Amino acid sequence: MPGIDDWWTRPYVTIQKLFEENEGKKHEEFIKQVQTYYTERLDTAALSKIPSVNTVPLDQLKSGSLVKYRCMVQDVFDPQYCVGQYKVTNTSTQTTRIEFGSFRDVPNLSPNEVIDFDSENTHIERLGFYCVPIPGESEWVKEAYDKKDSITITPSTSTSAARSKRGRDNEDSESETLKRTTKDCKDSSSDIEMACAETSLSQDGQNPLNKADATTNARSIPSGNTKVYDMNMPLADEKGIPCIVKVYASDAVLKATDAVEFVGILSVDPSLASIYDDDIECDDVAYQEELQAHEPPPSLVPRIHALLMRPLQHNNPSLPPVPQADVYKIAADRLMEDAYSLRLELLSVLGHALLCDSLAAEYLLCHLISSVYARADTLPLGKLCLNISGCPVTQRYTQFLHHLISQLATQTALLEMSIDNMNSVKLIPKKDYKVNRITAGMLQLAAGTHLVIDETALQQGQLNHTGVSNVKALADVINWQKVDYDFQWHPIPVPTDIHVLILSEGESLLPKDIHIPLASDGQILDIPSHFSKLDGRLTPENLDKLRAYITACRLIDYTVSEETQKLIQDDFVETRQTNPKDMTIEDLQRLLGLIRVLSLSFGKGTSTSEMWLKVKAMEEERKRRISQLSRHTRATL
Amino acid sequence: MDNTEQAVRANQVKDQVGERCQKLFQDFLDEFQGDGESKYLSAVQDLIRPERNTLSVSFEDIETYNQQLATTILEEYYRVYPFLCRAVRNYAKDWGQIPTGKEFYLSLTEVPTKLKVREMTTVKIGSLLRITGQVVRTHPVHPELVSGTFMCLDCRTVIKDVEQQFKYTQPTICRNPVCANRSRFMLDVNKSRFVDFQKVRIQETQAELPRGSIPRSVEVILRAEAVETAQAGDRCDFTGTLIVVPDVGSMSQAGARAETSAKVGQGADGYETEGVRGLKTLGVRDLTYRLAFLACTVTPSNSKFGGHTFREEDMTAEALKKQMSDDEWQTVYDMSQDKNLYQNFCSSLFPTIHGNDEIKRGILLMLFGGVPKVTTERTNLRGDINICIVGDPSTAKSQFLKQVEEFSPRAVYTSGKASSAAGLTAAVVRDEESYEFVIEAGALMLADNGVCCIDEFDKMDPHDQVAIHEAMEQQTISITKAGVRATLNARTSILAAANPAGGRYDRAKSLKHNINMSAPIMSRFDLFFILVDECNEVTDYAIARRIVDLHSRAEESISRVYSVEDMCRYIMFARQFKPKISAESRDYMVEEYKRLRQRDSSGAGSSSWRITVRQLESMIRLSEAMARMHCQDEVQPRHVKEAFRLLNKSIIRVEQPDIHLEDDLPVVQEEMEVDENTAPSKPTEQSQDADSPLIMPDAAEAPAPVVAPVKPPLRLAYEDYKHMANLLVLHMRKEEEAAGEDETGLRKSDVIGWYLTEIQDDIQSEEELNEKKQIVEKVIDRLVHHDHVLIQLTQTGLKPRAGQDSELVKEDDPILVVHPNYYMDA
Repeated sequence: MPGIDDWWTRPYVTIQKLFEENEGKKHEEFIKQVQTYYTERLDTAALSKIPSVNTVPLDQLKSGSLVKYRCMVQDVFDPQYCVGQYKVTNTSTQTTRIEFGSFRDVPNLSPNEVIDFDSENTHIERLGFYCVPIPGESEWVKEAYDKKDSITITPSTSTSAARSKRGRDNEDSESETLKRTTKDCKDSSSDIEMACAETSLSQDGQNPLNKADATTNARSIPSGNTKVYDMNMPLADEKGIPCIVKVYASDAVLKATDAVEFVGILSVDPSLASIYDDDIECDDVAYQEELQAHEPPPSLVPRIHALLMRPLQHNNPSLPPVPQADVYKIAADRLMEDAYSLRLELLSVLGHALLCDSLAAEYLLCHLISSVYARADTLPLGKLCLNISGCPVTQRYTQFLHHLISQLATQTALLEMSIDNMNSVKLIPKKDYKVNRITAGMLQLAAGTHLVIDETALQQGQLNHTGVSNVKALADVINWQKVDYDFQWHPIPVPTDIHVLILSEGESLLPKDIHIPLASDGQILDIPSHFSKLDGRLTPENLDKLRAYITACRLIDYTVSEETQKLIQDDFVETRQTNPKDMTIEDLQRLLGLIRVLSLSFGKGTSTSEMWLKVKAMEEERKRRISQLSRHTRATL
Repeated sequence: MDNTEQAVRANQVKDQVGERCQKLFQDFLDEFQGDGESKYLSAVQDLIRPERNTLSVSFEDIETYNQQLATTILEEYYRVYPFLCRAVRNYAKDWGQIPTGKEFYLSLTEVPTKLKVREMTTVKIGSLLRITGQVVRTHPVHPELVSGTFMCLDCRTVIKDVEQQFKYTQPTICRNPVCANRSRFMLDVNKSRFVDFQKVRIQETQAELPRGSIPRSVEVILRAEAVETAQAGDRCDFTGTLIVVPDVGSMSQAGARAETSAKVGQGADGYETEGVRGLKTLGVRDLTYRLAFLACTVTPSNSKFGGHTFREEDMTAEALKKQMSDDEWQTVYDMSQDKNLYQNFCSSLFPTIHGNDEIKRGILLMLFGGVPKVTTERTNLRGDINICIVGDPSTAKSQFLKQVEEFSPRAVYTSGKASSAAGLTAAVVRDEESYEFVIEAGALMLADNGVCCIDEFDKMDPHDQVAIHEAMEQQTISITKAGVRATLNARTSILAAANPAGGRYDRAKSLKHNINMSAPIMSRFDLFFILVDECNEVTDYAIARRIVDLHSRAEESISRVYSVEDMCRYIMFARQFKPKISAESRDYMVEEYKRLRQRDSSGAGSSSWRITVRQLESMIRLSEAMARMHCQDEVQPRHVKEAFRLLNKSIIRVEQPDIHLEDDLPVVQEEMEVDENTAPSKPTEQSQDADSPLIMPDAAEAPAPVVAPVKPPLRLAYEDYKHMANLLVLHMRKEEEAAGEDETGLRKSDVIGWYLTEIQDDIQSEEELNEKKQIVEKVIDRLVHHDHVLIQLTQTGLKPRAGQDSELVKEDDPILVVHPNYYMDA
């Protein structure tokens, strides 16, 4: 009776079999068995056959089928206790059987069957995670994953059907992106590309407004009696389905903002929504509220019972997922053979976007590759917050730039730093004790997300309390790479890895690691057309390579050789001997950070003396530019 | 048949273990003696009062009385708890008239097994535990039905004492043998018994929270006298057990339902609703369980707003020791025996910061703190040590603050720029919903019993600085605003960081002129440290190596002797000591203070501020902190010595590099390296020299001046140099004034001679004399050529005019004159 494909079409049958094989053993062992069973079967090819909740609409998926889900942990629920196994008695035939209780919300019962709760039931613990699609995930990442899947799958959940039938309310935008996908894929003639850029930019342009609206809407409606359920997306304009993922492995360590891919059994049984029924009798309104917050209707927030989970070290579909695997190493090595030319290509693209400023392009490149690789106690190492000042205020320059970055990086977010926005937007996640869960804030972002802060939008004005704490939160992220979640009684710091790029007119009011004024000759007047020239160069193949290059660079292991260390130390002391102001401790920190990313950008895992010289030259050039600028401003005053 | 069935059931219920426990416990109450009399008798008699119903019993007493009973209670708490309550009831009955039907409860205190919220698993269900948590939400108090009296709606038979277990439970069947009613009953509210019931939600405290994790929470059920003892925001200990409740929805009904008799009146269909409900939720919630903690005792900890404090005033070191596991105790013990404790602690506390040992020591002592005292006039003398770090930008000031915030769980980090007075102290705000005024905690209040780190202290409005005056000395915050008047505790140490007024520290000016701070505020800091971004090859090397190391091997390069947890535990333990000042130390303190005062009044040292009683108090506090660190009950002279040294450093020392008096002699590299490593490890030896305001080459550099055939590099600590220079200048000015117009100046040899006679008391040997002479010569040279304070007239006579023969006399012993524009900063 059981078919070969049962393990993924009907996972419950398979697991039941495993359960029966392991009868009498401890529950943990059974869970392990299931894990090993599925790990064996889920190789890359098999994995892509499994429909993804991220792309396939919910109404195409059957409850109880195997799905995968790429997401970020938004909230960690308290552990839940459930029945590990239960006895089912058929009232008509008086036959009994034992079923496993894990991996499901609803017992598997036929009409005549009842559960015998007095039998020997085991209690097991499972953890619940509220997960949201990775916030700020770029369009191209979504498309590429989708494409990767659609090449291999066809059965029960065909993507063609999925495309024609959109159950959810975001029909318009979805189809729009679809159109764009096809366009992107098929032709690369520059005018269409431009149009593409235009559409997405106009979307982006509306974002801040929508965002503010959405946030106020979502937050102002009190949860509870009203049936509006707050999806708790960190970025308000984010689309996609959040899920509650139940994890059974006791050794699972997941923290907020971890990016994970789960493979599990989907559960959207309507009976899960029964707590919303009006006639349900519960006098404790407070409890009801809390329950509803934790058990949202499965049509909105499906449950996934995780069989396997894999933390995502990067979210780039064009590279093999596990950097430790040989497949990845081969792919990365091949890619890195061209590191030099790719680097030049990327530099020229960035340089073009930065109004032909090649030095700023170098810094932006470093910024794109940077990531927090370690923490020395409180001090995050590897962060490189860049402030590009002198950006044109007009013609949506910042949005164009953000769009370009979103085409290159896997996750991006744009924060318009206007007074209104700063005073209203929720940056810090806050614990809502009323319903006992964390309300998402915009800074709840997965590691590796690029946050572009548009300070050109700032005008004079008064910051209110929220504004001040928002600015402080941004400064905290920049300085210490942590977000203090608001737990009312005390803040709880959560480490992050958000790469902040500040685009401003003058030097930014926020702290930064590197400040570079844009040196533009003022020749470029029409920014949209200037950017459109770029689109011709960014063919899909070209883009793919650049994207992979950025991700791969970031994942290279880095060491400093003894000689270079010595060289740097000597140089530091020497420079200070002549003039201590030329090299402060902060300068050294910055140089060390830069030399690391610069070496990585050449595809190298160690830094050489040439690198050190290059980094120093870059810094000197930058400092000269800053002092020139300040002289210039003094002169004009 | 029914009767027999019930009889059978009654038999089944009989719990051998329980019955035995009940008996044993009753014996315990009866027999346990404390101070010669029955310890619990009066408490039990007190229970007769109508509002009382809970007896508090120390678990330790049970343990001493009967180990076996204690073990049974510990392991099978949930099972035997009703029997223990019954024992209390029976015992109370023996001693007084109690109304029938009154329920009694037992509250166990001092239970040894303590668990973290995260450690509670299903294994622990039913056993007696103690957990700590921060109350985040409280629900209103409800009456809960414990035992219902029902009336059969068919035959009017009254069914008594139907026990309720977390949900509304009707009798399964009417007692009347002829009545087959199984569902239609009515609750008789008047004859049923209720108990106060409250649900509270607690959350993991910060101290228990693994780094970067979201705190877990658990629901706590409180009954009887335990209700309303915990308020939202409190940190409390809860003693009780973990229970698993199927469908908590119905649990809350137990109380809520009984509340409104109208609903109960529908008893007829009550069963039905239950049934439908059961069906509907079947499969949804029936596969899952809710976990709750049933607490019998709530002990609020002294601190509000949660967190793990270093100081729990009501605790003794013994009690704390008991809380620790053997391993933990062993580490604490080992640490206390560590000879290098002071140094190891410093390096483990700030593994990523190079150098700045004095600051590290200061902060360390701040964490230990002095002993707070109350005078006979009932004024509080604070024990907290306040520290201010002044320094150039990019000198790791923020790093210090951040580290302390990270390390000490009850620390608040705030920036002076971003916080108004209200933010730092407390604010009265109007509640948006109720329009009532409420007091909103500011950073200082939040850091009550902890450390408040204020960055950019100088950026704070002077007006706001004033606002924290009170907090710093009296350790309270008074608010009189909008009809709300309150004095709140703010027992906090303040660790402030400030940038110098001009952006960079100007060594030519005194501390006062360098920071933008009012004198009253300044005097409230016990220690001032000044960080100057100076160029010094050795430190540069060390810093460079540190940072490069950090960047290349972040994890390994951080080496701690002690782990953070160990240090926290040790500090907590050590803080329980309340060291007294020994007579010997007292004398020593007086002596040192006198010396400080004298020097201050002489105006010779470049002291930053006047030495007042406050500095004496600081000295006491620092000495106490030293004693505490070594877990000693008595402040010994060596503690005072170190305290004095720190104070001395902090008051006078502007972190100046030592002055090299021999510029031509390049300093040997290795020697300096040694200095880096050895000097900090023997602070006590060093202190001996440092506290005498004498001109001595730094002790660490010239440990043996007697054997000095090879000239030791002549170096002077900056303050010594300054001191000497001032002494000389002062003397010369005086002489010049006395001499009036007649004399042009003093000869160099005279000056040297005068100086040597001044210090002759301290010179023991000829060798020393020579050395001193050499030093003073060098100092004068430096003053002439480098600082241009003195003018040296090597040629006397009139300037050669054109055509005239020059009458210049080359003087071997030049005349020295003080530069007329020189202003002495004292």
